[in-house]
Amino acid sequence: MIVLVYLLLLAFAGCTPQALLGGGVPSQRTENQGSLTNRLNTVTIVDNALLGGPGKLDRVSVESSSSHRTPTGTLEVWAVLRNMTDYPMQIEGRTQFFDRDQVPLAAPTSWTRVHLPANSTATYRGLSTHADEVGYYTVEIREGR
Amino acid sequence: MYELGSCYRVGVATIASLMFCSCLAPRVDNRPGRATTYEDPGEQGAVVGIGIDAQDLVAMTDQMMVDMLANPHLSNPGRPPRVIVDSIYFKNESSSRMNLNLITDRLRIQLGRAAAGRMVFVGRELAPMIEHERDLKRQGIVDAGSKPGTTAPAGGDYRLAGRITSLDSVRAESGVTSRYHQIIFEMVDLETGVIVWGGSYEFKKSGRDDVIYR
Repeated sequence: MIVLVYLLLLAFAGCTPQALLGGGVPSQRTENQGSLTNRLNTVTIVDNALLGGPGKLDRVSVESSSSHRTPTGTLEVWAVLRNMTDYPMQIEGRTQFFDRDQVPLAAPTSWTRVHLPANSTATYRGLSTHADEVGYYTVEIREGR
Repeated sequence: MYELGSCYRVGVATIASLMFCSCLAPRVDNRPGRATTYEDPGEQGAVVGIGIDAQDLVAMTDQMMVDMLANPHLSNPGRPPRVIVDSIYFKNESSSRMNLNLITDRLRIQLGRAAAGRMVFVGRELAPMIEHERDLKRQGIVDAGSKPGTTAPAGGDYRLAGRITSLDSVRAESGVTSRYHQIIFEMVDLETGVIVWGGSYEFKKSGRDDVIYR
């Protein structure tokens, strides 16, 4: 009986009061992202909650992504995302832009919320503040908070 | 009835004396509380309600900024337009309490840093300050400064106007409230009145909470 009580106390002591800190569950990096060069001009899902894991489909898939120049020379990036579940979902995306030497240009954009209807698609868009200096980009996707 | 042992009597006396002492001790709320922590203004914080929160403001102004920089009327390195970005013509018609300068000040500063000469900003809100200094110079009370004088302060080419509106709904039985916000931004040509750029930011939140906005 004393051993059982002791084990129960240890179990409760291990609970971290994350709710007190506010916000959602911290996102985790996906595995095997490799170096920055491998991730340039790509869309990366940085939240394991969106990934299916071994033998399972991901909850969100990236159907297509690309970029083009606006009339003022800034770079617009977009990614078409598909909700693979039967439930509506919210995701957030942000973009980091780099110059032609792969040096980051300014801070990443703010997280932009995109609503994904069940089994449907929606598009995330990101715009740079710099114009011709922009050479590369990376897009990060996480579950909406 | 059984006879109380001496140890038991000492224990009872000790407990009684401790209880008496606690009555005399000063009443201090000695709970540890929750330590103050810094939070990322662009992320959802510890206190979130159905009004306009910091992360909404950050996302909204960043989105409008990049959108304006992609518009050829407003972003022209060859002939940068003069724009006025302030809250004079920005109205809050929503049910959310909001200091509109939070939106326009952040937008103006972020735009100014990112534009890098593609647009220039006129501080129309500071006109009394500029007029006072120009008067001092023309009266000879101060010298002309290090730059050549102009006949008049800079006129603006475009000015920001905007409006915040909202739509509330409440479920009486549960107290859950839903609020939809629509924030529109427009840049107006100050000669012709033509709206050369428009942007909108909308979101809807629902919840049952007692968050107070000030």
